[in-house]
Amino acid sequence: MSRAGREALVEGHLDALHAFALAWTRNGDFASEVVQRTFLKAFEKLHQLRDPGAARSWLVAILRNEIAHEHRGRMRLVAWDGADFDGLAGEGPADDGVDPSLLAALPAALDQLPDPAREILLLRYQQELSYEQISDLLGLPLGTVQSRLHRAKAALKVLLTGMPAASTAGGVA
Amino acid sequence: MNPSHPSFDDQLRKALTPSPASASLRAAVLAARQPLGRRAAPWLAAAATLLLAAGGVWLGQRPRLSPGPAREVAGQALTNFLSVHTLDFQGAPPAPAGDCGSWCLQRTGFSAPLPSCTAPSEVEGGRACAVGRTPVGHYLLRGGRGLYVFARPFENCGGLPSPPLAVAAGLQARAWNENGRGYVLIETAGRDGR
Repeated sequence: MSRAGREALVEGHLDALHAFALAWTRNGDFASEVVQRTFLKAFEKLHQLRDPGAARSWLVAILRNEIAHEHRGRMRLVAWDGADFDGLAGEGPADDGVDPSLLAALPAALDQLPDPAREILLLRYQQELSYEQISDLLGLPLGTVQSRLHRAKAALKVLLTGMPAASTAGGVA
Repeated sequence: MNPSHPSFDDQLRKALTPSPASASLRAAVLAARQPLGRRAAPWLAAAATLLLAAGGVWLGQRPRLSPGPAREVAGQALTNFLSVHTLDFQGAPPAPAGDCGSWCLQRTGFSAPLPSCTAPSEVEGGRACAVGRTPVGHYLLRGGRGLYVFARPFENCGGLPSPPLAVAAGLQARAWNENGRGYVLIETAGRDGR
């Protein structure tokens, strides 16, 4: 792979992959480590990437495997049986915005979600993957992805509005 | 919830916008090499090596292959060690640990054998990383020591462990060249030998 090709891949995706790894592992050193390994593997396997538009989801798939391989126990790659979503609160509207001041508590609220719920939110809103790409990545039907994303968002909103900081920040809008 | 606010989707997208990764991570990723085993065919690699060597002779100058002066590299290695000493070294070399060289080959593209002073049984783990812009093999040794192996020898460096070239946070870094490789050992400050 040419140096220009490598640089393009890194420039286009390094920040996002590092953010995902950091959000997942909560360890800056470890996040950097797995991101390096992800790109090393990507450089080796670039010929397998047939659609350049799918580079992000392809890289995320490699990154998830690297995290799972190096950090067993933290990323439950096969925990998608729905049980993690059964206990999630929030069946109400998930699309209305919240008071912007509540978003300061977003990292803490994300951390309180079950791993699969947190992951699907990161895949959609941080990695900007489409429903179809998430469906392929997680091996779930499209409808399941949509419903779980909806429930994860609703649960996140409940957490945000219920955070202690919310009352001091002026309450829920 | 307030309809006057942006949608929750937009709020999440904005709040989760990735921050720029560090320049050092960017450099380390770009410096990563493909393992030798997956590079071009051996005859092609040999031909390229011959061509480079001939080119170096023809130009009358030796290519700059060293990672740099020993003192500078030792300082960089110590900084790296301090930033990752809490890391869980789960990418440990496979048993037997004596196979560290080939383990590192898979990770960095060069074999990083242990120096003569280090027994395989002392190795507790390892990882591949970058120091400066140079890929290195980093072994965690018994007693919390760190051993960095560079693909090329250092400039201004002998074949025996140097006096401490860098000291920080109670740790010191020594450097030496051996069998065509550069080594940096990180250990508790005050030790006068390996």
